[in-house]
Amino acid sequence: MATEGNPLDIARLVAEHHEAVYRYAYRLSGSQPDAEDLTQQVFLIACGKGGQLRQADSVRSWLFTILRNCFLKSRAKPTPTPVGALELSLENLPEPEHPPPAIDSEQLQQALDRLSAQDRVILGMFYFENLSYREIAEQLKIPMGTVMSRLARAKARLRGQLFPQLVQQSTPPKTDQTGRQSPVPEKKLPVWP
Amino acid sequence: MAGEPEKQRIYEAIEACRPGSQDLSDPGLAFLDRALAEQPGLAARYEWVQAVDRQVALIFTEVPVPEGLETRILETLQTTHWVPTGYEEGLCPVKVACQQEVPSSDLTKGFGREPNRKEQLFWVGSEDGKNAESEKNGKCAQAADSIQTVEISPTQPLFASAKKKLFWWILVAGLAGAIAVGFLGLFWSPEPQPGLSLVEIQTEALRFAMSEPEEAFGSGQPWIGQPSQGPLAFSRAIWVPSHRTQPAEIRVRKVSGLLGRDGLAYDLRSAEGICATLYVVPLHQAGAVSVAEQLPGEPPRYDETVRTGGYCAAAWQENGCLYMLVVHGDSARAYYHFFRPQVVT
Repeated sequence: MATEGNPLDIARLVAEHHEAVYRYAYRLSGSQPDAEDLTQQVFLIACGKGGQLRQADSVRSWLFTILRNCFLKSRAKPTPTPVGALELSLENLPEPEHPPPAIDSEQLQQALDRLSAQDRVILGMFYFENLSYREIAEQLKIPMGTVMSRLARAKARLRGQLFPQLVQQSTPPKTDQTGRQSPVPEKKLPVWP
Repeated sequence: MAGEPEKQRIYEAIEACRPGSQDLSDPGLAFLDRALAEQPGLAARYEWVQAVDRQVALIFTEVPVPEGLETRILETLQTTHWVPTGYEEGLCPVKVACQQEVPSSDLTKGFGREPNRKEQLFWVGSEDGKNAESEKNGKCAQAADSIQTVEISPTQPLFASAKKKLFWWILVAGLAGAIAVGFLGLFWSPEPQPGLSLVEIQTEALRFAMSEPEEAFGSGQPWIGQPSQGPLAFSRAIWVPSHRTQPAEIRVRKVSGLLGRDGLAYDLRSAEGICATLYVVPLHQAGAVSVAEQLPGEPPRYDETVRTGGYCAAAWQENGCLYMLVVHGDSARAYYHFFRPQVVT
């Protein structure tokens, strides 16, 4: 599709994929200027590395990978994540009695903005790219079990932001690997209603 | 009842199932499929999570795209010479092979027995190129007007004698021209090309930094030299804030291909954890693309830098070297973080 020195393909690449890349970038970054910068950055890099692309049908996935890397790289200082702060146990789950409350695009973005960059990326891969846990594991080069664990925690945090009214449990403050208490205040996170 | 590890496993498996997918038929999730069949309560929770996920997945893509984004991207790419000019938003690029009959007086443009085939890039109003064919003819006429390149129809009558005469005239004219150019070359040299501007250099530095693998940063040797000493020296203008408890770190490594040059990259990490890379290459190098002569002799102001996607790039010349600083941060604070106060104007 896009090869170095072939302006025709690059223009087509932009025409066909800039909207999807921008939408993904917006969900990750949370602001229009940042999303636009990220989108431009993705295509700049894509132009420079066009020769690396071997399969034309994987262009979008390739662009999304560049986008994720650019986004994570732009977050030089990772947001602290309360590792192990969630008690994700079936025992604690009440019966779901009501359908999930309706949310809109702005609410979703506000919820995403409160999550760490790593959480946003794995949620983007799941919701936006519609990748299975196997595909996420392949792309991130981590074990499938780790993906499932990270995904479950990220989704629980997202729901905690989206549906605070469903908070039913509290979890005791956790300490990180160094023994210090997490700098992020622990929230009561709803797992399931 | 399942044990705690098993419950955790089931919980994570439920969360891993994409809405509307066949993930439950994945062999790795067969245990979940069985558990859902056996436990109605679990199945209800599974359905609730699926309902939330369906809603979130739908809303995830609901992001309006700003107007003119495609044009702005292409303009950026044009700056770095990736896309030809003439592009308009909403149009699709197609290659058009042009055919037009020409009068005999214009035969010189297509001299020779074989038709002179040329393709020209056009932008036509179709996203998928379906209408490209229908627009070819109209665009062809414009093409002939603009680029003066035509294909001679095979049916066009060609007279052998006229062609032969024409061939000799062109041969003689060509030889005369070559001699004249060679003669002039002895006494006159053309104006030098202006070279890359400050913005183009900064853009190229930004592009180069972004294309480097993530692990390249900080992969070099610790640098303990003195600024402005030796070839490709560290810049006098740069200052990496340090602290007794958290010393700054500078590592140096080789780079090649930056503006066609070989040089050094100094990876900087300040006490505050702000990072940047200072690229240093020779101002002039044989075979490399030339740069503008009037480059600033000190780091430019923040508003003169090139910024994108959380990065900021600046370029200047110093002691016969071209310095390019790419800061991992696009704010003015991050940029000025690496400069001595008296240097920044």
